[in-house]
Amino acid sequence: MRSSEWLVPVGVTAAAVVIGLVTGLGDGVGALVVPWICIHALLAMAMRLVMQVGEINLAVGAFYGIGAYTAAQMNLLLEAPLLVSVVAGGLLAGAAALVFGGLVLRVSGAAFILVSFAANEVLRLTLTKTEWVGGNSGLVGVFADPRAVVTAMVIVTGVVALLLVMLERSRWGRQFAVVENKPLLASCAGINPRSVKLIALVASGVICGVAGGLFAHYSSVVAPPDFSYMISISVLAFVMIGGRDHLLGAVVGAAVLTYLTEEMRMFGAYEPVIYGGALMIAMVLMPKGLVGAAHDVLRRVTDSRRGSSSDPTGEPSPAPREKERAS
Amino acid sequence: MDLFVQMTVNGLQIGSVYILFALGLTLIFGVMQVVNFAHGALFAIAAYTAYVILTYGADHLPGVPAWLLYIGSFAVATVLLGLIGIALYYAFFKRFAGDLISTLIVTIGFALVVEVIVRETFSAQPKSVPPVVEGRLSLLGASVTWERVVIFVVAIAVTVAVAAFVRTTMTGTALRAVTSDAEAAALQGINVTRIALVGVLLATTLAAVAGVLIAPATVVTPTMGFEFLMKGFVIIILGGLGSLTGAIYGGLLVGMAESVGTQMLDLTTATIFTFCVVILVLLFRPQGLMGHAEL
Repeated sequence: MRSSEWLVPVGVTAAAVVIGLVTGLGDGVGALVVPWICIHALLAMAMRLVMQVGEINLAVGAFYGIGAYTAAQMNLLLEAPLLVSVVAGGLLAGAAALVFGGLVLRVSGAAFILVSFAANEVLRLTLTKTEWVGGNSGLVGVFADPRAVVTAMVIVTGVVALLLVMLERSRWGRQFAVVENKPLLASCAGINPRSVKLIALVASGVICGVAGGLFAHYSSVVAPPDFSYMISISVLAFVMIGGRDHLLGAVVGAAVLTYLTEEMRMFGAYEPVIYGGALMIAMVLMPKGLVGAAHDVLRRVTDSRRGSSSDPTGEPSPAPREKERAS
Repeated sequence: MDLFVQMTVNGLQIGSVYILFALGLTLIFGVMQVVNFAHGALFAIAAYTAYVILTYGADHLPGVPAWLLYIGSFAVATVLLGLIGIALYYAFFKRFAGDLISTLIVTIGFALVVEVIVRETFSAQPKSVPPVVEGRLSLLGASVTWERVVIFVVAIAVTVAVAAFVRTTMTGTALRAVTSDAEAAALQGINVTRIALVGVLLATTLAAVAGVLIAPATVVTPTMGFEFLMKGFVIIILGGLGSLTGAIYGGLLVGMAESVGTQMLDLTTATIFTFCVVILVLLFRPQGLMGHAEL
């Protein structure tokens, strides 16, 4: 691909990172929401990565939890520096994803959704029963410089986003698309759908683990309730409301919903209603999500401008997803 | 020996309610390919219906016997959930026919909203429901409350009724046809939309019966729906997605595993143990014990 095609993603990411750093290290509402937006965006991108091979992994919260607990223990027991702890969290979560995927990926579709949902809950229960990670009360006192953590969060989110854009446009990205849409065709072309799915799941697990490690250093406390099925479902909401067809959708969904939740904190415990109601309304009114809807509007505008001379019928151009995959 | 009988009795009793719950889940999946996260919410609504009717009756209608209120709860919950089911069907299931992800997401959304509405109406405090039947039954050295005997008997009766309906009636046969292949069923002249609606109503009725049935024997909480949902998922994966027989075997197995696990260790460890068993089964039979699905 031409180097000019990199201008847009690199530019957008760089701008987002700069905005994130400025607002996240300031005193305003940004300092409250930017860290959470980063964590949620990382998880949403990880969720979307597995959706790109056609599966929905509701165990995102479990891998996030493994990363958080690992990083917390690294910090507490070994006094490891921030980045070492976070990387360790990512690696262990990736290893857990490898084991889980190796065992469970022989089922797909609905069965995979159900098993991953149950796995998330089982991990949470296991954490409450494991005394050397604090049982019900979890681990307390993870210490790190808050400014360094926020800086790391913003930069890591930007780097992961760019890596995923690269992945999507690479040979692997095309293999993912084939496995999602035509698994049988993939097998015929010498691609093993199960291995490709496993690779996506492990990569997604690493991202979740990194997000967990960052979370542990940010909140300084990790406890089992932080990693319940609710986090997996919220992350699914970020991806679907933002728009699953674009990587930007995962980030936008995470940012918008996290910001809205923060603004609506005064309404108390209504957070699930916001997610739940938004999910139902979005699926009916905006099945392609915020970014998909914006994309459609944008295309209609450019089409009508161009179409007045060349295409008077206003025939819709091919679906955005196929167009992107072709590039 | 006594311990063994006690564990079996407990296991059968827990398992019988799990069967009812899982039958509803697997039925909707079979007929419409919907992973119904709303099933737990419907179940919780039924349990709260019983709570409201039974406590109101105990406080304000001293002349009315508890069992009559209990039967009334069944009727009210069945009608209420049936209406919700029809609404869900026309609002979402029909629109997203066959689209696994969209239906998954709207039912999750529905479940989250219901959970908060329930919590805001009744508070997060667990509510205990007044007992309907008192006393205990001694059986081969095991002791069990009559309450639980009633639950077991009703659950088994309803399961048998559902099985008979599905096996012997014309509508039941059509339902099985749609489950195994909706397109081929349509080609045989079966009205798939009507059968899907029958499936939804059957599933909501099962949720209503399970919810009302369990209410007096446990405490009702806003999160009970999600707790049962996880068990229900484990059961239908174990039995095979869409398989009614599988849900029955799966429900019994999970009930027994939980009963034995609780006796030996504790409920949390038992749940973890059950999940490990399911993963083991999936290693050797990815389609579940009774499933025929191509994977």
